Amino acid sequence: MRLNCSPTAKGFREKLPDHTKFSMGLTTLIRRYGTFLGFLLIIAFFWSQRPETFMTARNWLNITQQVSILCVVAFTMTLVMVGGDFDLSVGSMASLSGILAAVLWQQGVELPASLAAAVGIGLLGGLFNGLLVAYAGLSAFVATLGTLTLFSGMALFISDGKTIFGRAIPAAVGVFSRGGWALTDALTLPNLTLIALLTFLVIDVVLRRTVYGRVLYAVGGNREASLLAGVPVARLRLWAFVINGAGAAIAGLMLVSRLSSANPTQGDGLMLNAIASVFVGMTMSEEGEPNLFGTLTGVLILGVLSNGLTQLRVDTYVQQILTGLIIIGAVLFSRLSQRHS
Amino acid sequence: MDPLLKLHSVHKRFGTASVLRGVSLELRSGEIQGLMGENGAGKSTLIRILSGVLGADELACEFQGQPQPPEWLRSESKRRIRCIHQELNLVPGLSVAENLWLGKSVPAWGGAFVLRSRLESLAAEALAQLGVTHLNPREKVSRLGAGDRMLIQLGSAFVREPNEPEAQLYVLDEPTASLLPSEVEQLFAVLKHLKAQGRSILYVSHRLEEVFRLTDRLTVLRDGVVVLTGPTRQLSSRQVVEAMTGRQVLQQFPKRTLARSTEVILDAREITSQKLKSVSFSLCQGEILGLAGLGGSGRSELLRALLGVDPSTGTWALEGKAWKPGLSRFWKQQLAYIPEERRAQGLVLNQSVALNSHLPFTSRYGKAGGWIPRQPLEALAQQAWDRVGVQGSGITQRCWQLSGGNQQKVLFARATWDRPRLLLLDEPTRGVDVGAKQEIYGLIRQVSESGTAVLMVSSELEELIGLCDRVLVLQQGRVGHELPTEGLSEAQLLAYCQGLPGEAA
Repeated sequence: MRLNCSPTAKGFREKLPDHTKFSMGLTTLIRRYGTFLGFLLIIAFFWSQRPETFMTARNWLNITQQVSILCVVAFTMTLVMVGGDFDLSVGSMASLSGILAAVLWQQGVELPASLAAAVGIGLLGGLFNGLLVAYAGLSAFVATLGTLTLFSGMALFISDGKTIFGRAIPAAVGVFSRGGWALTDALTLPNLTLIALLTFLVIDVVLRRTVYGRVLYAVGGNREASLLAGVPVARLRLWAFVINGAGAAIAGLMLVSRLSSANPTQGDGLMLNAIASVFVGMTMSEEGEPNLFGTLTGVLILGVLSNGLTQLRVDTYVQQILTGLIIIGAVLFSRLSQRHS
Repeated sequence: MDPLLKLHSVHKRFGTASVLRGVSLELRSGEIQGLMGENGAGKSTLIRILSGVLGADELACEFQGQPQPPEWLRSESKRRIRCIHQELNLVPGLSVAENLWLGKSVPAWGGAFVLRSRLESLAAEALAQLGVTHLNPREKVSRLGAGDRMLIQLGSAFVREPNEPEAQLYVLDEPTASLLPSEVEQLFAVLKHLKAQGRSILYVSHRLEEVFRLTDRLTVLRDGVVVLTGPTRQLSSRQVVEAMTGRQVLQQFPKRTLARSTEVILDAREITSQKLKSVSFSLCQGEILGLAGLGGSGRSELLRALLGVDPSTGTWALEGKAWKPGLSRFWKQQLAYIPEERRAQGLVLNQSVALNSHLPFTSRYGKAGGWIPRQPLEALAQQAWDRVGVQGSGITQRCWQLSGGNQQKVLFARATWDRPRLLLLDEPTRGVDVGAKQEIYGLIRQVSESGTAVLMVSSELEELIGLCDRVLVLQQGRVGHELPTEGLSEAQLLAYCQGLPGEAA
């Protein structure tokens, strides 16, 4: 019987609150901001390794341009994931929209009409995804895996599998990505970064300030309860897919502008990075929901890693290995700290 | 009777909240002990400590008279204690036999190839020990009802690995929540059989009547402290309820104070669906109509037909006008619904109380362009919160942090948001503790006195009789009886539900 030693036990218990308060505060801090702290650590590391080139305004503007395309896809993907779905077809949609615009330029179609057609194919593709998932009831995985292949095939078909470059691409397209908003004589905020910023603001307002966004969170949180509360669940999910399709198409055009060429597979890598960014971002919310600020952090982690590792002359294959490990690490760490509490 | 396991001064805190504060519990061989308490009293924490899932901050324990170190429970309880939880943890795609052996070593040839017939005969044996003979071990669990699934869950606690000692203590956590009366009887017979073999059983339940019938001793927890313990025979149900709630229970069911109106709100004629056969009834303003019946009699299906979730034929009239059910229009027409499963079907648990209470109405408050008017909505949510008396930190609190009773109140906040003409309730007090139950009864009465017609499905006969003006007894999808509740006894209503009105007379 341990009843005899109750005085010491009691003493221990009285000390407990301070200790628990401290550790609670720390774990909450780590859980909520752990990913962000990790991000700061990564920055600090590169800063210490490349003090004269990494932490400069020029390099940061460069990073924002490098991540701008991924940003647009990841931001609209956040919307889809808030609604409890995901979309595997964004990469091939980005390829399709870019190559479609380029094919139209080859045929002599004017710039505005071809851009509209490229965004239009994104809206249509998104609509098709949304109809399959929200109305026909296919799982998002199966439906968008199918459309991934479908869009990819369409991109290869209309371009005959060839890269379009050189004079077929209107000069204005390439000029756009090199231009921007002059901050000082030497520094410009690139146009592509501006598009990413604009997308951020729009999606942020949609998610936080509109009825649509608030209710979409409910749909993602509990679809059946939302349905029984009379929420038009299918329509909300459909719209998320449509917006995401448009986001992917815009990203595809940004990619063409940046490279001044179009290739029927050049956007394919975007999908995994976009979903990874949203997942990394989800570790930053208390309830584990997708959130735009988190997604932005996720995208920036990927962007800073790639920029910093390139400056350190780390091989791109090794970069990929490190990026994969860091994504897994972030999500794993947040899971472990959640289980711990 | 020998004490099998004694726990002393069990302390447990989560963060700053003390959940258990010096609890003692003595479990004796050959005895069924009841454990009661409101939600949040610390029952589940105690069970989790007992089953070794959770470590206590402080604990002294004795097993069969021998003092044991505090870590003993964590290492030994898997071998000696079997816990049976209220939630079903079965894999629907596997057979009865495979589910019984889930997580245990299945008889297999060479350790790899499952010996199906051997497994199935062992399963039949294990079930027979429980007196269950109507289940085919080969049947897929997805084809079975909730009651049979519970029996399988129970059965799996009695399956042993070849070299495992037979468990000495069984802990059952609300096992009867989804059982039919006949299945409850079967379970009780099994438990009495175990008791006769000298096993010790800890029976956790909200249902007073069951605890009084079954247990030898009874322990009541409140706010992490044992407030009452003693032989069940020497306790009255009133003492137990008062110990649980910490206050005197005066009148259980709030009485109607206004006269009944005769204005018909809802009129249903010959409603027929897959599970319903020409059901007709009408419902007046301010009336509470109960739907009684056994599981599978079509009670919830009638609500689903009204919601427009299940297709149905027949004619409906709402306030005298022809009406068609449709889920997308339902809430807009000032109709409200509180589903049976508040976690799965009612609330978005990871969202705020505010969002959950205005969810069906959000788009109505959207300004041009769909902007959400935050302040007015929050003010309305605050009003709703005050109206139903949620106990919590505020409307921005996430719903998963609330207790069952408070979650249910959030659903009432939603349901009463818009002064509904008709409110559908499906098991409004399931899994809710005694104190919260009382408050919910008050809310239902209040809603009905404000003129809302209430249609309420419940398996608790007491509350049907106490609250409702009339009760419809459904039998296999038909209206078997329509009874005024005045002067109706529980025994009579039960007999009607089971289709034996002769015995009730």
